[in-house]
Amino acid sequence: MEVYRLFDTMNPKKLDIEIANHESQLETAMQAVEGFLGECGIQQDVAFRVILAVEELVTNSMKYGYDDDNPHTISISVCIQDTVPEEIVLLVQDDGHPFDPQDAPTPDLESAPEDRQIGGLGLHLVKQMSQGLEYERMEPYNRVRVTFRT
Amino acid sequence: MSLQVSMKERRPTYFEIGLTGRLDTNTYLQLDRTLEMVFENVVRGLQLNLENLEYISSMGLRMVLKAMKLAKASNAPFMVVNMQPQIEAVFKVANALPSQSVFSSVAEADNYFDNIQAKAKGE
Repeated sequence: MEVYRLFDTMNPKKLDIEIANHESQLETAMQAVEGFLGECGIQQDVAFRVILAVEELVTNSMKYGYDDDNPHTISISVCIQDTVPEEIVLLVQDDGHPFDPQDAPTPDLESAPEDRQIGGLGLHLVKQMSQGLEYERMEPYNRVRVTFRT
Repeated sequence: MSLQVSMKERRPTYFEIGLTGRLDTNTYLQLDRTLEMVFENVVRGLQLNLENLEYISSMGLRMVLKAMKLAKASNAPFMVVNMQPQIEAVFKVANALPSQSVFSSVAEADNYFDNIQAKAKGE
């Protein structure tokens, strides 16, 4: 499936992408988001956090959201709100199993790094490196909304 | 959105892995393969040079933690050098900075390694 990039002519500071639930699509989605944030003049450190959230949330959907081999679509939307300071809203939607990222267990952050079980850090990074994460299930979709301030 | 991985033996059994670009879901296997190659040897020290690393995600962190585990299993000091601020921020959120061995230059890391070796030899 191709990556679809949809422009909202009413709001040039909005990007919508649809990708197939296949890991080969992830890089293209990340590049599209990075390019869009660059075009909008978003500082690199903020763009870094948004791209990280795209990677972690989409990877999670692809890895754990589906147990069939059917094609599915994951939608990614990035909107830069005209507030002071600017707020960036990332929305990731999939039609996978219901999963609220808020319910993900907190990873082990106390043991020495070299002694830890590896894993579970992705959602922790997204929560800690954003201003807020909200989830809703609108059958048959999971919708995760993450906000960032510039 | 690529990653270049370099590897060299700075001293006998003391290896440096340098990362340029992005360490993420799309690229982590390159570092994984390099770690396997390095640990086919006797390793007495491992330095990870992050001077040119621009981006890291949780999958990249997993590889760095794997490198730390492999170094520990070999009883080899693990050193991180030249970490950029955005990369350090991710390590801090994950509380994954190696406590004693983050250095701002290759020379500092080399000196640390040499001191450990000297102590081990009773010099």
